[in-house]
Amino acid sequence: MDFGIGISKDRDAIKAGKEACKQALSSIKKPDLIILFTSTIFDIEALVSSVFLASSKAPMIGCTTSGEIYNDIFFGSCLVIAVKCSSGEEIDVLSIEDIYKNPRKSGQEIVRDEYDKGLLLVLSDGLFSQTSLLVKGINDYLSPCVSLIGALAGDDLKRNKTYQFLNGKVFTQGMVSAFFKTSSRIKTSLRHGFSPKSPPLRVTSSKENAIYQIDSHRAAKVYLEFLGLSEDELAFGNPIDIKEVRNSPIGIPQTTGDYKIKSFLEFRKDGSIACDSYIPENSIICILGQNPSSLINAGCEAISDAISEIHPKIVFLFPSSYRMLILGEDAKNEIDEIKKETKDVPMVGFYGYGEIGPLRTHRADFHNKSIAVLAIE
Amino acid sequence: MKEEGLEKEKELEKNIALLSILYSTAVWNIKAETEDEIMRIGLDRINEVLKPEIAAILALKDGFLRIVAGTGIPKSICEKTKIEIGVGVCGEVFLTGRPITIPCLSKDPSFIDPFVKEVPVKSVFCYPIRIDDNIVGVVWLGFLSFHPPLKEEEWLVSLVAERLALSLQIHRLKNL
Repeated sequence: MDFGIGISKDRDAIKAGKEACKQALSSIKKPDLIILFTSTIFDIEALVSSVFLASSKAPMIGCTTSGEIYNDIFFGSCLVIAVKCSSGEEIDVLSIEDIYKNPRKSGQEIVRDEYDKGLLLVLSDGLFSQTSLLVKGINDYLSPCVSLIGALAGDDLKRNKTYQFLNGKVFTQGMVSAFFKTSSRIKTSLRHGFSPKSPPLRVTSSKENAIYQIDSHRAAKVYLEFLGLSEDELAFGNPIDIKEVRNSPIGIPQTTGDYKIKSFLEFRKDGSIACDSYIPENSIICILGQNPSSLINAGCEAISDAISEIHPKIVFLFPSSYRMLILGEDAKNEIDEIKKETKDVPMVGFYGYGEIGPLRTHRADFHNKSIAVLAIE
Repeated sequence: MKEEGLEKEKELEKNIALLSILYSTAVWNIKAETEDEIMRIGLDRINEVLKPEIAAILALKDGFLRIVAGTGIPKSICEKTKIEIGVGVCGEVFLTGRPITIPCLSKDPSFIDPFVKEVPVKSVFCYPIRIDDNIVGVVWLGFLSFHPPLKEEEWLVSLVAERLALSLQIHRLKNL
């Protein structure tokens, strides 16, 4: 498999699409797949059409982002990756235009029986609150011989509307995928760098994705007081935007020794907290914390894991946009440190609203505030 | 000295995590409308706590064991799989009511269940789902690498199987 990469910051969507495509296709003739990651700064319909036409209508997937990565972090740009298959390799693209109706079924429908060995790259709407169900649906039918990796689209941190693309078409509540039938060696990895700061706490009352009580007290009270805040914060709007809350998600302990991060969607007036996925009653949780070096080390660990044993031609990075918010200026350091590990291997990707990858397990799952890595030899 | 302390701290954290998982599984209450939904939620729980690469819950339907919930098994295979009682690992566990664990499947290929013929599964755990004296199904877990079961993994699978059985029993009583 061979890759060509192009990036443009031209403000004109049509010119930007053409320019990025021209660069990407300078070394690749007749691509088997075009991947487009773009800022929402452009006229999305015009950009997607421009890239689709400039690539002679090659199969295409992509999505909007909250920051593009091409060996460095970019904002307001469009990034095109052209993929050329070697003999015996194939790429199949698919889309589900509306994942909101039945997320589990949508996940199941993106998997075809003939996906028996290779890689499945998934890009989906970043504002959907039930992505964990979507990923469960994918895993229902996906062979363990297929590596699953993906990310949730961004929208330059506006959290208003994200877009997904397939073959020149644009969706807003969908999912697109590319299955790579390949014998090339592929490695995926994911890490977050958060660790427990509170003692174990018990979810004494919950329903679906909402926690009502922790240790028999109102969930918001227990959580906010641990951070030195008060429930009065609720009167001033949703505390998910408070720095301390953003930096301290909750986590559920895993048998691997890691914590599965559950992000908050909303603090409700009744003192309950809505999370990004199902929290069973009687779950044991911890409030997690981090520091810049633990996050950056986790990014380096993810890349070391992904590039161990293989000599990749390209590395895809899918870090959470929350990492950018938490790290601030240090976000660039994370990418620079990762670049030191990959050396001359081109590094592409984007900051999104969620990650799909394996956290020290074989099977991928939906994660938050983490960084997912894909290396292809 | 510092490294030793860190190692001990990690070990302690892992033990707390394990205790947490065991506790939350032991008191786990499945809320579902149908038996198939109970099985699906049960398998999701197994995937969350044990992270197998491939897994299935099989139940008796029309005289055969059929997959009622699967992970990592293509749709067409899930639909067409029917296993006779006493055949393969699942059939054997269903017949005898005794769990089977095979850390290295290649040494005993006669135990390969039909739904994983195309997948290079190395290790298998299979546990019965028992309501009173009746076996109503089996929980089957597969790993692609050599994976001898740890004691805590055995506890967890048997706990999930027990909770599943209890939920099924409650569901059936409610629908009498």
